[in-house]
Amino acid sequence: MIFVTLLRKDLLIELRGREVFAVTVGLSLMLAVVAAFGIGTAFLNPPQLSAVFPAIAWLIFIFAATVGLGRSLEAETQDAAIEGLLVAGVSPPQIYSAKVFSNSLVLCLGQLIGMCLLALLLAINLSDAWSALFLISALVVFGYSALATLLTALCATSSLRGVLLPLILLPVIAPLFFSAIELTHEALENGRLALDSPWLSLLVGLDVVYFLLGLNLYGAAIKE
Amino acid sequence: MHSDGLKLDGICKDYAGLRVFNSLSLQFNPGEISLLIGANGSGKSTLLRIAIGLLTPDSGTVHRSSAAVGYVGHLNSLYMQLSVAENLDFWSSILPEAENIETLLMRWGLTKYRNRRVAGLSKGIQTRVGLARALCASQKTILLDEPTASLDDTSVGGLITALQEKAQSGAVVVIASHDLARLLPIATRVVLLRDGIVASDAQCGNHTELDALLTQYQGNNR
Repeated sequence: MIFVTLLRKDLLIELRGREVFAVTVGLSLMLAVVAAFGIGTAFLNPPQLSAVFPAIAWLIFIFAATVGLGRSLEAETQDAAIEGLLVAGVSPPQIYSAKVFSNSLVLCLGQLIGMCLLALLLAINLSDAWSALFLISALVVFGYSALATLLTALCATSSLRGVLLPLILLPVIAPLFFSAIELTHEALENGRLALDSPWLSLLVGLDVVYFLLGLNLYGAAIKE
Repeated sequence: MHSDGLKLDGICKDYAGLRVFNSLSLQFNPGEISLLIGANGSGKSTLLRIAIGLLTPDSGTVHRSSAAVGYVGHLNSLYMQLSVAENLDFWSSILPEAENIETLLMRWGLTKYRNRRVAGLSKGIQTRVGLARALCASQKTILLDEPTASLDDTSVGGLITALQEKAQSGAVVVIASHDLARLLPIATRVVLLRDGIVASDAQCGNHTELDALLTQYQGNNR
């Protein structure tokens, strides 16, 4: 099955270079330390800390992941491997799907590491909401990867790609970001994922929309 | 209607404001080894990229009898982070009826480089891996852009053998190159491009036609 072969290749390249993972985790760790230090000087009490934690955790993720994913297409463009795939008859949706899933796996791992460190530094207990947080992370990271993978390809040929990607991505990703913050907040308060939450419906809907958008537009983004 | 081989019909293409092709028509037949020549900027690479669908012509049509194509452009389409064996394993698993890796490594003299990352190899060895990738399966259309540019004579010998086998099995083989000394002996046809049109088209068996084409080409290059 071509999807599995492509996914295995993408993960193997990431395992060799660790470009997305190393940048995402490295930046997350540094930002978590800086954020924890800044919040520490504000002398917030535990309920206040819990209230600001989701926004800081997801802000750190989005910043770190956007920098990390900027280089994720380089393996395909460096020696025109993506042309070889197209000429071999591999369809753009197959290439896109494999990239979204491999980016999601790597970023999800990076996000969980970053969130755990931030929680540790702020003395916030995540153990009661662990399974809910894992599910929220998976859904948010998938939606983020679906959109960022498409936009990375769109920006790949621009000389301004370093600044273009965040400028385009951040406004479009905002609804996903708000859902992530609200759901994480609810999970920390209740210790479970609120299945009837409108934010969850919005998050799942955005995942589907972003992924379908990518499947349909990725071919145009990588050609010529 | 789809014909056997590769047919380009009425191709027009503007590139960065310049007209590259003006209603160019060409047919490449199965079993032929066609050498595409022309001065720099005559559109050889663009023609190959249009033929395989990497570029869309402004007008005109391309008909290929097979969907999968063996193609090496100016770059080799390899994953630089992976080893030679990992690259060949990946490409042979997505291409139809590909040869196994051991055969490929032997055929292209790559056995001793099998575990080396492609990024650390010389340009010539990378080209050999790229050719092994492009010619590893049963594609019926083979398009190569300057394949001998960084190859030594031994590697060119291996390439020539592989191309002759492909042509004998009924594949269309088209090579864009300036390397007439090494590739003319195996070509069955030579096509000269100039100013966006086919300036001359000669079968290698017809010495009068071929000599006239080569004289025209050498005159253009002076």
